[in-house]
Amino acid sequence: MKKLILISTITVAFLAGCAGTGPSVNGAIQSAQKKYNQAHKEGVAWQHTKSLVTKAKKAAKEAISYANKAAYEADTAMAQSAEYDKTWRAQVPR
Amino acid sequence: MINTKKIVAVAIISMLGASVTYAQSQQDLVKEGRKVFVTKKLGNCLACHTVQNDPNIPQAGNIGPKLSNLDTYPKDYIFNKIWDPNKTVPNTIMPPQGRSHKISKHQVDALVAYLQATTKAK
Amino acid sequence: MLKKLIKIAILSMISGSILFAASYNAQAEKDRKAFVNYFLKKFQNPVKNHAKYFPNVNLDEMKKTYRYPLSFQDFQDGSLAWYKPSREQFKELNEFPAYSLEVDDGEVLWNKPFANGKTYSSCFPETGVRNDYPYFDTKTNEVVTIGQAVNACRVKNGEKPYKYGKGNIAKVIAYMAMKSRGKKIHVTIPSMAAAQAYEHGKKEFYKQRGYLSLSCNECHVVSSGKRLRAESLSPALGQTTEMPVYRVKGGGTLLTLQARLAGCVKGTGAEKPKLQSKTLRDLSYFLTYMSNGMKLYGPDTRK
Repeated sequence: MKKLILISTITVAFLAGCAGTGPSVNGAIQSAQKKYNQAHKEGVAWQHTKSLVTKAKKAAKEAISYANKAAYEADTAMAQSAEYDKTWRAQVPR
Repeated sequence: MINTKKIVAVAIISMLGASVTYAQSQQDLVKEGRKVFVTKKLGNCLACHTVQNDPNIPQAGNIGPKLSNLDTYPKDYIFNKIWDPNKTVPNTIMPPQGRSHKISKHQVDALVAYLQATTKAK
Repeated sequence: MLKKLIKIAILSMISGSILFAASYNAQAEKDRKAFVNYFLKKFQNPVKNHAKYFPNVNLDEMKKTYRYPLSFQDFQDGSLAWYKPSREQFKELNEFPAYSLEVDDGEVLWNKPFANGKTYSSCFPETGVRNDYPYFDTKTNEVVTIGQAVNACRVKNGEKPYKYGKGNIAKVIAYMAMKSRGKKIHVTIPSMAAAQAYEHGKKEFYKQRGYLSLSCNECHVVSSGKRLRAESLSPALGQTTEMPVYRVKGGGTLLTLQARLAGCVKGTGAEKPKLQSKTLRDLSYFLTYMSNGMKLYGPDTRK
C-alpha cells in the first residue's frame, strides 16, 4: 500500500513538472514569468531576462493568431472545395 | 460678442483643417489602391484588367473587361464585386480575393477609392 | 441444337465484351470531340467570333496580332500558333534550339550502360514511345507516366532513380520525345478503373482551387488566346505534345510535364502537389487524352 502511494505521488509530481515546462507555450511563459518575478524581487535579475519574457509573450500572441489564420484558411478551403465539387461540371464543353 | 466670433472662427478653421486632412487621407487611399492594383503579390488586378484614364499601367491583360465609369456605381457594389465575385457570377474566373483573405477589407476599400477616382466618366 | 445454343452464347459473350470494352472510353471520346471542337470553332475566325469568345479583347489588336484559321495540328505550337509577336521571335530562337544540348545529353544517358551492362533499350520496345504515355497499367490500376517508366527501368537494373521534374530525367525524356516526333498521341482507356482515373483527372482539370479559385479550364480553355499581363494564354489542346519543354523564363530550364502541371497548380494559390502524385498523373492522363491523334513535337521552347 505504501508503495502504491509512493508511485502515485511520483507520477503526479512528474505530471505537474511536465505541465510547467512541457510543450504548452502558455505554460512555459507563465513559468518563466514566475521565475523572473522571483529573481527581480530578490534584486538579482539579469539584464535581458525581462525583455525575453516580453518577447515570448508577443511571439505567443503571434503564434496563436497564425494558428487561427491557418485553421480559418483550411476551413475556407474545404468549404470552397465542397462548393466547387458541385459546380465544376457546368464548365465542361459540350 | 467677441467670444461668439472667436468660436465661429475656431470652428471654421477646424472644419477647414478637417476637410484638408480628409482630402489628404482620400488621396493616400487612392494611392494605396493603385499599389494593390498593380502589385503581383497583392491584388494583381492588372493581370486581367485595363483601367480607363490610367494608361501608365504596364502590360495590363485583357481577360476581364476594361474598367471604366465606375464612379457611376455604388461603392458597396464594387466592394462586393471585388470581395467575392462568385456571389453574383457563379464559376467566374475572377478570384474572390477578399473572401479568401488574400487582401484585407482596408485594401479592398482602397481599391474601390482608386477605381472610382480614376475611372470617372468624362 | 445444343451446339447451336452454345455457339450463340459464346458469340454474344464475345460481342458483348467488345461492346463493353468500347464503352470504357465512350464518355472520354464525347468529351474529347467537344473539347477539340471548342478550340477549332474559337480559332477559326477570332476576329469574326470576337463577341462570343474574346469580348474584352481590343478588336484592332486582334486584327494585327492573330493568325487564323488554325487546324487541329496547329495547336501543337501552343499560343505561338496564333500569337504573331511571339511566333516570329520563337522561329528565330528555334533555328538553334536551346534544348538541343539537353537532347544530346539525353542521348548519351540513354546509350550509357548501367552497372549490369544493360541500357534503357532493355525496358522499352524502342526509343520513340513518348506518344504512348501516360498509359493505364491494368495490373496495378494506376496511371504510369513516362518519368515513372524511366525510373522503373533504372530501379529494375539496380540504379538509383532520378529526381523527378528536371535534370537528367528531363534529358532522357527529351531524347525519347525527339525520337517520337511526328508520331500521333495514342492514349487508351482499357478498363473501368482507367475510366475512373480519367474522370478524376477531368475533375482536377475543371475544379477551381487555391486562393485565386482558378481552374486549369478557366485559363487554358475559356481564356486561351486572351492576354494575362503581356502573355497570350496557351490552349490546353496540344499542350502535352511539346513536353518536356525548355522554358526560357528563369534562365532556361528543361521541365517535364509533371513539373509544369505542378507549377500551374501552384499558380492558382493552391499547395504545390507532389510530382507523380495521383492527382497529377490522372490530370496528365486526362489532358493527354484530349490531344489524342495529334502529332508530337517535343521537346520545344516556350516563354
